[in-house]
Parts: sequence; structure tokens; C-alpha cells
Amino acid sequence: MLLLFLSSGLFLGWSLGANDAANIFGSAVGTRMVRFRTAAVVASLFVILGATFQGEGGADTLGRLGSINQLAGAFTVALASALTIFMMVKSSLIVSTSQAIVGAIIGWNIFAGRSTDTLLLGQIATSWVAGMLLGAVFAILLYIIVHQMFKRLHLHLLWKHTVLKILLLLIGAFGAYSLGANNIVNVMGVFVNAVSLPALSAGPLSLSSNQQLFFLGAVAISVGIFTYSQRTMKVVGNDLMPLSAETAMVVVLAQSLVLFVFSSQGLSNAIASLGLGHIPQVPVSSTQVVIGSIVGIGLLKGGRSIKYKVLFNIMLGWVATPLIAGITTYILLFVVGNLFQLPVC
Amino acid sequence: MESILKTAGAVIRQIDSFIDEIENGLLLFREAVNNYTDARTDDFEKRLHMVEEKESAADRLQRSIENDFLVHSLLPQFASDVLHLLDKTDDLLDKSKYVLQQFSVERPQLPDTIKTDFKSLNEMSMEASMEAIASVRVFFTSPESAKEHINKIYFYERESDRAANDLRRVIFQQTPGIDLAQMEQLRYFTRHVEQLSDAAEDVADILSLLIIKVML
Repeated sequence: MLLLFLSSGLFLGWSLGANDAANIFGSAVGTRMVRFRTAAVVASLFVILGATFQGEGGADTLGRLGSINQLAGAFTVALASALTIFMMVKSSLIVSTSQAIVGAIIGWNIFAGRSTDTLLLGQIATSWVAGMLLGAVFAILLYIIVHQMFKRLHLHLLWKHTVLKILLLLIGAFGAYSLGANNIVNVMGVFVNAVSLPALSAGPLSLSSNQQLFFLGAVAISVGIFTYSQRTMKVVGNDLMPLSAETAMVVVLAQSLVLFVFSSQGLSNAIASLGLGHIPQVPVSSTQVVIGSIVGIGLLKGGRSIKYKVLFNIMLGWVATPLIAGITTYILLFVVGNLFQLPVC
Repeated sequence: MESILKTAGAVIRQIDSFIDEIENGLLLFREAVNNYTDARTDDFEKRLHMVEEKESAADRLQRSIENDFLVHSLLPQFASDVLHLLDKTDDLLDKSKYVLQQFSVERPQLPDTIKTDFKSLNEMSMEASMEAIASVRVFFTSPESAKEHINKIYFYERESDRAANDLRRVIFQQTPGIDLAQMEQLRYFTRHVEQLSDAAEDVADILSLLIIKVML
């Protein structure tokens, strides 16, 4: 019965694996620098590690935004997010699971008659914009450093290729870890307050209830990577973002750093100890951070190749995605609560 | 990871050896043509034999490099262009060997009036070819620097054309005592030597595009 209620979250996990793994390994696989099988194994392993051992921060933030305490309610919220993503993808809009889930939680808050912490909501929305901007800044700085480094090293073309191949794999592993850590809350975050599992221990390893949920969600992401991401990776690598191996490496590293920044409690504490304030632990859209990084490099190269319509679509998504998710959640909660007589709040 | 590094190192060594073989073969070609012009037939035949050996060694290396590129998916974005470049570089030595073999088979008589011009044409073609070799060698470590050599290839190719036309003019207008058949034969050998600079120009054309692709 629990798995049935978790199925909407697991479906979200599958779609995240199918789509967002391409942001990490799309260019590497599309350009045949890394084989799909290698990419899938590395991505799956590190997504599971990141989600299980560093996924808590974002869950806490979403929990404070709306504490969904009923399993049927959590199921409905995750289902509404999944439907929103499906509708937006059908309309060819760039959609973020993070934005859908936040909108869905607000929809649940309204349905349950609970107030939404507007200060926290503002902080989350700001981090979405900041994620893209930070992606652009990181990409510009990294591009300058990497470009100068390769220029000075005068590596043989084959050595350069080999170094890039190894770096794409290592940075991809870091990217997958950060994706798992930052985005697992989109998949399983709404179930955290509704599900309580007994802690699992095996030797020195101990998994809390949340970690077990995140592990399950991460396995769903891995299934998405293995079953559907090959096609997405090839489309991203060859058609959508045909980047050189050097640029692809910079983009993936910039994206990984942004996701890590918004999911590392340790980094947030370290910055706070310097008196610079906390970094919010918020799930950000990996796709939008990637676009931010590519735009950053585009600006560095003169800005002629930037497609402003894509940027406009993203900004539209910042408003439209939470709005549609909120309305869909409200309607579905009404249906599930009244038609199926299940407690949703 | 160790095997990736080993493969890269081995292929780099093969590419270096391949370019060395072509370069040495071309240097031998230059000497062989000078030997023939100076009527030192024994030296010419020895050098022809050495060029044939270099050409075989270069072909073996080229096949091995092609195999490694495909089996290990090296430079997947540029593999076909790089292999095409190496193939065209190999053409320089293939053509050199062919020209020397034709000298050995046909033994054309070079009148004294054209010997200086013939050597001059040989020098211009060789300069273009040697610049092509230098450009290919430097391309792998510093693609931008290869542009300087490409500019020189085009320069020497034009000079080679000019030298060939001058030589043909001397053959047909200023060399009394030779019949039309000998004129035709000398024109044929002039064209052969001139074609080496055309082969160098082919290398330059491929390299110009490849540099843009790699630098993007």
C-alpha cells in the first residue's frame, strides 16, 4: 500500500532521471567521449549517494513551506507535479520539477487552509533566479581558467582529449552526486512528514526514515537514467546543445557547483560562520542552471548566439509552473478527498 | 584509466613516427632528384630504395593509427578529419616514390640548359612539402601556430607553379636539339615534381578547416 502511494513520487523520480541526467552526461555521450553504459552506471551510483547522504537540507526547506502529513495528500501533490510537468513539456516549455513541487505544496496549503511562509517562498524563488545567475558566473570564470590552462599547457590533441574524457567522467560523477543531493527532495520531499519508517542499520551504516525514502527515490531516478536517458542524452548532446568537450566540461562543472552550493549544509554553515548569512537549501532546476551556464559562456564570446526567446520561456516558467501545479493540486486534492474519501490534509 | 592513458601515449608516438617517416622520405626525395640531375645514378637508385622503405613504414603506421582511432574512439568529434589529414600527408610520400620510380623506369635525358631550373622547381616543391609536414606536426600541439606554416605552403605552391611554367618555357622555346617526344617527356616530369606542391596544398586546405573546428 505504501509503495502505491509512493508511486507518484517514484514516477517523478523516473522522469527526473530520464531528463536531467542528460544535463550532466548529454554532451559527453552525444559526442561519444563517454560511452552511455559508463555514464549511466556512474550517474546512477552517484545520484544514489548524493540523495541518500546529502538530500536532507532541501527536505527541511520544503517541509517548512508546507508540512504534508497525510500519505494520500503527499501522493496527490506529487501526482499533480508530475501532471504539470507532463503538460508543460507537451507545450514545449522549459519546465522545472522544483518549481512544480513548490507550486503543488502551496496548492496543498491553500486546500488545507494553512498559511504559506511568504518570506521562505520569496527566498526559494530568489534562489531559482540566483541559481541561473550563479551558473552563468561560475561558467564564465571556469571557462576563462580552463581555456587559459589548456592554451598554456600546449598538450597534444590526443592528450587533451584523454584528459577531457577523464575529467568529463569525474565531473559527471560530481554532477550526479549534486543532482541527487539537490533534487531528491523534488521526488520524495512531500512524503517526508507523511511516512515514518524504522531506521535501518547494517554495521556502521545507518539509514533514517528520510534516507530510506530518498534511497528509493534515487533508485527510481537510476531506473529513469538506464531506461530512457540515452535518447535524451543524444538529443541534448547532438541537437540542442552541440558543445565542444571543453565547453561541455565547464558547463557540467558550473552546474554541479551550483547544485552543490544549494544543497550543502556544511558549506552553508561555513559561509554563515563568516557572517555572510545562510545559503538556503533549496532544490533548483538543473536544466535552468545549465542554460544559465551556456548563456554565461555565450556572453563571454560576444553574446551573438544567445536565444533570448529561450530565456523568456524560462522566466515564464518561473511563474506559470508553480501556478499550474498549484491549481492542479487543488483540483486533485478535491477529487481524491471527496471522491475516494481519503484523508489528504 | 591506465589503459586510456597508455593508448593515448602509444598513438601519439605512432603519429610522431609517421610524420618522421614522411619527413625523412621527402628529404631523401630531394637528394634523389639532385642525384639524378647530376647523373649520379647509383646514389639515385639507393635513395629510391630508401624512399620505398620509408613509404612502406609510413603506410604500416597509418593503418595502425587508423585502427587505434576507430577501436578506442579517439577524438570522436574530429577523428575522420584527422585521419583524412594523415592520409593526405601520406600522399606526399606516395607521390614522391612514384616520381622517383618513373625517373628510374624512363630515365629521361635532362639537357644542361634545364638542369638549374629543374633543381629550382624541385626546391620550391620541397619547401611546400616540408612546410606541410611542419604544419601537421605543430597542429597536434598548437593548432593556432599551424596557420603560419599554412601561409608558407600557399606561398611555395605559387612559387612552384611559377618555376614549373618557367621550366616548360625553357623546354619548349629555349632548348634546341631535342625532339617533340623528349619535350613531352620533360613536360611530364616537370608536372610530376610540381604535383608535390599541389599535394602540400591539399594538406593545407584540410588543415585550415580542421584548425577552425578544433579551435571552436
